[in-house]
Amino acid sequence: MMNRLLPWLLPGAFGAFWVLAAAFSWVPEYLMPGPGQVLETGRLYILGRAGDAPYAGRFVEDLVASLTRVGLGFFLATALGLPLGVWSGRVAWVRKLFGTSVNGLRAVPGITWLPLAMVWFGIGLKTTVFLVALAAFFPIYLNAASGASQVNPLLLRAGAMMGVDRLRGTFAILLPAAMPAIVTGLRLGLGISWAYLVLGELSGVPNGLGAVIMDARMLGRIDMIVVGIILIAILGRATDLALKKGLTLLFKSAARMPA
Amino acid sequence: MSFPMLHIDHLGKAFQVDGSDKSVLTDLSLCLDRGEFVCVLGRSGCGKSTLINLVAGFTFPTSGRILVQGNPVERPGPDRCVVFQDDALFPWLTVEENIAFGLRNKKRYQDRVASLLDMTGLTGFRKYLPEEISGGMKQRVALARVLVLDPGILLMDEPFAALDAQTREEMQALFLDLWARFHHTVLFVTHDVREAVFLADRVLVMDRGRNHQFMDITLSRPRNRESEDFSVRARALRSML
Repeated sequence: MMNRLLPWLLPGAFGAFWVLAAAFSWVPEYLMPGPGQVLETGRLYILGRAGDAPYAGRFVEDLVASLTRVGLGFFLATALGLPLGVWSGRVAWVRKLFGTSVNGLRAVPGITWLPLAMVWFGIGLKTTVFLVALAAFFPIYLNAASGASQVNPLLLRAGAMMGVDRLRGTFAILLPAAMPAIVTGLRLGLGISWAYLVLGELSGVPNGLGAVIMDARMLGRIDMIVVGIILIAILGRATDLALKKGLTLLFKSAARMPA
Repeated sequence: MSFPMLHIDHLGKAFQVDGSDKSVLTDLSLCLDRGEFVCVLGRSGCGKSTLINLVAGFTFPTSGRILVQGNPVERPGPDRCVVFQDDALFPWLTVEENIAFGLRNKKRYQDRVASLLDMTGLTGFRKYLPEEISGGMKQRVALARVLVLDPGILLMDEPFAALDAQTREEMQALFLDLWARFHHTVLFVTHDVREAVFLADRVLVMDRGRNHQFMDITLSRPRNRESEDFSVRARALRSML
């Protein structure tokens, strides 16, 4: 009982405080609208028909656009970061080859790539996917590398003496043994994907949750900004849970050795 | 012409330390016939584990050679299975999955896995994860997962050293039962003199130099650890160390 309530305690307390703050007008409306107005804006945004209100009915299109960008970027980051990370975790010359460059690039704040990405890819899907993939690559790569390098060598020897070849050893021993670190990297990568999604969408694309927030800022619709923030929080948490669940369903090692 | 099961011929291993060669194993020769049980005794640092690693194919000799039925050892393989001192089970696999790991066709050998679970007393634990069972149980799994592959040679690297005294004696008895049934050729490293006397046909006492010695244990099996004959052998071996 306690454990089921605990996760909702902070959101609940924050909501209650928000209700009180609105009821007693502690904060002016133009800085922070009350929960009632935000709920109504959210309802219109998600369930309303186009034309009823400025943002009514746009949610599904924005959601699909944002999920596509996050999904593509995260997929690219995983497809590159995971194998390269595992490889450099195991092979000294690969680590030497990539280590300096990866750690150098990692120090560059993602936002500094935005102007360059806009020049290269224009405004839209490609820029956003590029930013998401770039940002998510680093936690995925680094955690995979550290997980792979810390695999108990005895497990690999055990596999070798049982006649397991290199390929099967990689998939049946190395990756499962590194799984907790890999899962951590993927979850961090997915989290940061959402952050860079919004950054990419602030650059003037017509749709997406980030675009809505930027649009609402220019029109002074604080309520809509708050709706966008809450939706991104919910989506970020939901995709994280889905990722975790998916990995535990697909891999015994993810289910039996929690990260 | 028939070859011995395992032929170790003037084996030597040295490591480079600060630019100079440091020898950990010098001029060791040893022949094991099929089904023979040899224990390897020696002080720490005399190269016992190095010997296991060389025969297993994890590392390579700097001099001499190792032949298995006449063929030189080039890489690790299921004809020379190892039971390690430390827990080397796959923590994400159940007891049963760990035992079946080395089998290519798991369906076909289902019965084999089941009978090994039975022989090692693990049937009731087959769905458990390694972290859920005791150290003695883990070594039973480590034993079963190599026996399922029917290796010609079993390499035991102080497999029971980390267990408490009572569990260790249980495991020794269990191992002898299994050996009597399958008659694997066994190279068993230990630092426990009484363990060597209880298990071995022949004991190799390794030396840091080249003065390696052998002693046959002619006691009939099963052996009584409390008997005078047993103690005489143990004392004799201890004096050779």
